Amino acid sequence: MSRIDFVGLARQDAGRGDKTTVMEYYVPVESANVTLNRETLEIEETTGTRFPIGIDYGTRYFEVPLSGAPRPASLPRVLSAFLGQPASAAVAPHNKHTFDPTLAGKIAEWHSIFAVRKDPTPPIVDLFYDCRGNELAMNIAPNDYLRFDATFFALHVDDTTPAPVPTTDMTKKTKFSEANVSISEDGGTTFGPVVSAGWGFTYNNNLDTDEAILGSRELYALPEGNADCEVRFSPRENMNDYYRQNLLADPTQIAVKMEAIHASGASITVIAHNVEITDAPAAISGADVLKMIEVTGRCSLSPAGKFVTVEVVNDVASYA
Amino acid sequence: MADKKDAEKQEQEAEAQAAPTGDVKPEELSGKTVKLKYSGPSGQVVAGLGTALEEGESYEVPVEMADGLIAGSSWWEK
Repeated sequence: MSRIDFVGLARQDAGRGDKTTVMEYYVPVESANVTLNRETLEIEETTGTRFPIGIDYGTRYFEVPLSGAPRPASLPRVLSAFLGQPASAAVAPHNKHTFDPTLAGKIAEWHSIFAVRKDPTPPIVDLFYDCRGNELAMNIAPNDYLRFDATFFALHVDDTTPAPVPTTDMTKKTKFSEANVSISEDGGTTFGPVVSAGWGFTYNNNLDTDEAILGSRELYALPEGNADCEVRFSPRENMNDYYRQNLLADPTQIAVKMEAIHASGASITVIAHNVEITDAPAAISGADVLKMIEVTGRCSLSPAGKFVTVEVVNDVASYA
Repeated sequence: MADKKDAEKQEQEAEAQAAPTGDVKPEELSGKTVKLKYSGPSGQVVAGLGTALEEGESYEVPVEMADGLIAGSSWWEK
């Protein structure tokens, strides 16, 4: 892809089957390597010759992975495919959109996605529809932007709708210098800052792609499986504590928060409410200084019934 | 000969299909513009217009781009 290519996203208001050709946001991405996940029908038969015979194609669905740096205006539209619709409220002079997948009715929303390669003439245009978010990873590290890898699964593709003119979201990306990590040991009541060299989280809906039926090459449904989530951060302080905690103690529950606040007042906050450390290695190396511990934790449901909450503050009123 | 004609026809069709879809070259612009109202969030851009868009503003858009903008986003209207 070159810069002239573009990717657009829209929520399908009426749910599955409501193919939407009018996009809500065109999201700048670094790459979107669309792939086809297809079964093959092939049996080895005796044919009197040692040369192969033809195959047939089985069920198919599409994987649409978007990689890039999230922008405050369009990020909620991406998130709704993974965490469900946000609750939006005015927080003057901005608006706050809160995603909480544990609330009733918050399902991974169906989306349509335009993927347009403008380099060739005529352009290669895919309008994927009936898409849901499977795995969402966000990471931030020094001297880099906050980045996301959002992998959508799509049931269908329309190859007849021509590419529109994109109105691209160019609100400011989030820089590492705007972000901080904090943890809470009292169930999220009070958070204390952690001197950290990085942060990341991976949320997975574990969509079930095994719903093949007779009479169609397309999947019958794309239901959500069990959700899971991993959080990573890299403290440069209290390294022995994290190492010992992981090595010797029973799991304790901490809440981990990443908050990034732009000068404009826009912000992105991700809170994992109940994290249990699963890995905190301290490698010995003659060549390197041990300057951080890469802590990995598994998220679980907190006593208050919270899992992961994402809050985006921006100037958009609603994502209905 | 027939193949050549078919190829030319396909090429013309491909160009016709590509025309309203955004990447309009400056030399292809007729100079005519149409005023469109933008109702989306501020901070978005359209290649060729040159400015970050403001919610509620109207913009003079080359006629060659107008249909593609309206077809691609619910934020634009005549």
